[in-house]
Amino acid sequence: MTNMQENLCDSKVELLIPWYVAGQLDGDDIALVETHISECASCNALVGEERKLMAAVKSNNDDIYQIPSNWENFKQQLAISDSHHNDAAEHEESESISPPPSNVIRFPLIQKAKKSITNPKTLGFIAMAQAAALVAVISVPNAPSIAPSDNIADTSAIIANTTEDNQDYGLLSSAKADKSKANVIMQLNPDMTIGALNTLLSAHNAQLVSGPNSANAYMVKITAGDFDATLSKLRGHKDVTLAEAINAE
Amino acid sequence: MNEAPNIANSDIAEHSEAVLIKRLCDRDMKAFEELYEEYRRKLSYFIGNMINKPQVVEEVFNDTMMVVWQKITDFAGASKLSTWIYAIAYRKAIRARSKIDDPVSDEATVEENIEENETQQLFEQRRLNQILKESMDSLSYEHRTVVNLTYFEGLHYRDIAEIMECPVDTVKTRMFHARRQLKKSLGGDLADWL
Repeated sequence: MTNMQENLCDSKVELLIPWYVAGQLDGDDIALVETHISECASCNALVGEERKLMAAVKSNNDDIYQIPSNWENFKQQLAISDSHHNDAAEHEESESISPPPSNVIRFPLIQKAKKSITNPKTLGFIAMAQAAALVAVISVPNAPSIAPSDNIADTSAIIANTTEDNQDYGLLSSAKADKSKANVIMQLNPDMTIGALNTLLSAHNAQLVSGPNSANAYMVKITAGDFDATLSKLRGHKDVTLAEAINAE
Repeated sequence: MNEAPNIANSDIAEHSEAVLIKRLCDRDMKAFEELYEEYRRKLSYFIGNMINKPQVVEEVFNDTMMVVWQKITDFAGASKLSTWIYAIAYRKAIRARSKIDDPVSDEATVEENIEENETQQLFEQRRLNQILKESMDSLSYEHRTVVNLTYFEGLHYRDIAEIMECPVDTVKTRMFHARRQLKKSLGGDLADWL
């Protein structure tokens, strides 16, 4: 072997061998490697060794964790994401927002309502409804002994009414999400990611119905299993700051 | 010897990718479901090699696919779609790693799963697998990522450099050192593989 070939062995060619073996080199690189290994026995042997190493590594993946398919839940998250995006775009584009239908309570829209609704009675009613809901939701973490049938029931009545009657409010409505009634209201640590929420809910046979609303609360439906036990597990999660039953069956 | 790249096939691949991107930009949910399933398999291994906590792997995957959905209209096509997705997953995984104490500590050893009645051949295969697994685990995650993207995903070193946001020469030298460490860890056992 010439000195020049030895230098190549130490540097450029050897560095390229993994991609040569993987079939991922461009023409010039292929030519460089093939010209060299046709003359250099040690690098030729190195190619053979590299093939073995690659085959060994590739064959050794039996116990790699496979992410379970959770498309349906993930699709709901996409709908939420799109709704947020659309809401933001709508907010930017429109200075004047049409008033909602008379039978609809727009839960998160006090600011928008102030701009567009001229009827003081309607405005007052909406503001009071939102304030009542916010106070009830926010006060729950400090009053864990409150039974679902007490203050939370009032809140849930407002929220349930809103989510069922107002197709615009339910953030999942555009994605034809599960329209069945939520049975839990949750608030989360602001640092919790969508992926983490998705994982948490799917692990407990629960699914997101809508949210977040103006109080950063999520409406969730526990779909199977022991309702109380599941609710307890959700409450025990480190990123769940509130999980309360509403309309529990 | 390697064959020259098949131009016709690469053209078809580029066309298919362009069609897929167009469908995604048009918010075609069926197209995204296909992408989700394809990358669920690919990223299981890729993220799992950086983080060995299943729940976190799943979170990183979901967060990655969420970004893909949200940002696909911003994807300018300067790189391959796969490179872009791996780059997102890589950054998400690095961020997730920084939030957990020991990203690779809670794995069960293969020995715990070995059944007594296995044949000698199976036992030997498991032993070799375990040695190789430990060798891979002993690599830094940067080295392991380069090995993974080269061997499993078959990516060009330029794509890997883009994913890992580092110079091409860094990719090559990481691979060089990773292979050297793997061979050293495997010792004479490498000869037993094939």
